[in-house]
Amino acid sequence: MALPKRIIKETERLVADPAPGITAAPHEDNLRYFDVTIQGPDGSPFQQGIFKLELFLPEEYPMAPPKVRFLTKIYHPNIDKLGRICLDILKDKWSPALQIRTVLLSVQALLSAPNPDDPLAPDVAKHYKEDEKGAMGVSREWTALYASG
Amino acid sequence: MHFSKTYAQLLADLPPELSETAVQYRQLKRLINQLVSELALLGLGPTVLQDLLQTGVDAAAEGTLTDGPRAVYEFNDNNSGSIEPRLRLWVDPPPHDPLEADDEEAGNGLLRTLQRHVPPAVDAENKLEIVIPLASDAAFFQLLGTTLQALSDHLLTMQAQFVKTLRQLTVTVSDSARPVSYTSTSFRAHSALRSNAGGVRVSASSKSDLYAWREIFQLYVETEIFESVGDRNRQDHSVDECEKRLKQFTDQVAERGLSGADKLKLPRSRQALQSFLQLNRFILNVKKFELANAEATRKILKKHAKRTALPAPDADSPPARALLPLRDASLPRILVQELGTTLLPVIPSLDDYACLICTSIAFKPIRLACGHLFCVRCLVKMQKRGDAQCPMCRAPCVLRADRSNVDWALLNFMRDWFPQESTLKLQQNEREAAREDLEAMGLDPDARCVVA
Repeated sequence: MALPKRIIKETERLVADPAPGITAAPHEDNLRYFDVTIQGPDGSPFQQGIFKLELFLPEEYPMAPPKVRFLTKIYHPNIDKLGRICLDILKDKWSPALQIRTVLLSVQALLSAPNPDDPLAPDVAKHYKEDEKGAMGVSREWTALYASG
Repeated sequence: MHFSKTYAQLLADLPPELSETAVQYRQLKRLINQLVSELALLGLGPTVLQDLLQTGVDAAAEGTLTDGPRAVYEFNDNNSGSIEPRLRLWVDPPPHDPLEADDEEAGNGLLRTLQRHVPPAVDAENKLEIVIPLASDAAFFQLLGTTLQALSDHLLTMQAQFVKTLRQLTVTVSDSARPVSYTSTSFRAHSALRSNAGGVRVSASSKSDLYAWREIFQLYVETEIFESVGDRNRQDHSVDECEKRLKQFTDQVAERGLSGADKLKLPRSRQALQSFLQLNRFILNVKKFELANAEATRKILKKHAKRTALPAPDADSPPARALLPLRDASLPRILVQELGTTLLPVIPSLDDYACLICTSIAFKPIRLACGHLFCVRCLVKMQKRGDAQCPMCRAPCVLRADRSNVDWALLNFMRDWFPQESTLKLQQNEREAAREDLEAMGLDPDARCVVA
């Protein structure tokens, strides 16, 4: 089936005028599948890291949310070992008015503001709650180890 | 290359109505030369003056009396509007018989030179106070000040002219890009009382230049000639970049045949396009002109300070006040804004009437109870999925929407101003709905034959 106009438009804008710190490029053989990178936000333990993600637009998009997953290992209470992300707008709070761009900006914001009270990775969340300084240290280590390009 | 040459060349490229009012760099330079020889005649070469002024600054800072001569560069402080710069010097009084004291001490030598030209005024703090009016310097600031004032006045006149031309152009464009209701007698407005939303049809025939103008303006906005509005680089472009982009726009318009009779059918449209291009060239010229003048002013003031050792005037001294730019925003920016708010909105832009979900024109337009607007097709899809929340505000009103939510006024407006887009969207909607119906019945819409 032909690619909907909306996806074409979104892709064009992502390439021509990318959001700061974010890149997203579609696969040549599957225009619904995007290779994404997100820069760790300044002031977060993920600063200076470049994180790889994959993003897939299901058939029902934009009625249904895109599927987004971290490919780079990351120590974050809302991201699990498989790279799955706990973010409300990717689930029940999805709205068809949201876009690839806004989703990725939200993921970037999640890196700045971890939410250990709604964890996807319970061990990391526990670490963050009990010893935030130490946990951020591990996040920094992992960033240097896995996300330094 | 010397700046005066670069500057002259820059001005030569501009139309005379601009270049005639430019800062007179050469004349100002001549006045600096005069000032320099005037000072030299008084024995106040740059090095001597530099020392005297420095001592003057130190003395003022410490509040103590210093030995040796000192000087202050000052301006009259009456509000007469004229700028009268002068040097105030304090020198030790000469020995009783000036003719006998023939030593070569700096102060005395200076004083002797000065005494030949200016009679000492007052005896204060045991020093002679001498005030030297600087005639050439006054002429320098006078010329620069009046030029900049005249320049600013002139630009205001040009701005008024620009706005006037723009208004005329706006009238012409809106006149030659009339909507369907004006050019076709078959156009009838729909209403909730008389029409059935399902029966809405759109006629796309039109004898106006609406679509050509829309394409021209869209291309214009996309080319971002004078400023970028993207996420990464929201900024004014340099003169060179503007020039490049304006050329790119002009070329594209020609390439797509938008300047020819094929697309712009009405002769007055073609004239209007030329006028539109001219206005843009004018903005570019003003931009060049403002930049050249600012640079010339900066350079000439720098030269003034360097050649004479007289410090650049303080921000709140009379000359600085006279030289300050009188407006906050630069003129090119004002003109670009004027163009964007007066002319461009004459043609409704599709982006303003797109459905946020499918990004096509929101036809037929459905207004939810919360006030947000989407195309009927996207809302039907949401209803089928049972999604109740408005995509914009999450108000739970999607499932309650029905034919009473058709925005008839907007529907007529879209048929009128976007006949082609509305027609196309209507067809797409119908095709998509038919497909979904087939799928709902368990049939493959791509199969060749569905009748056994």
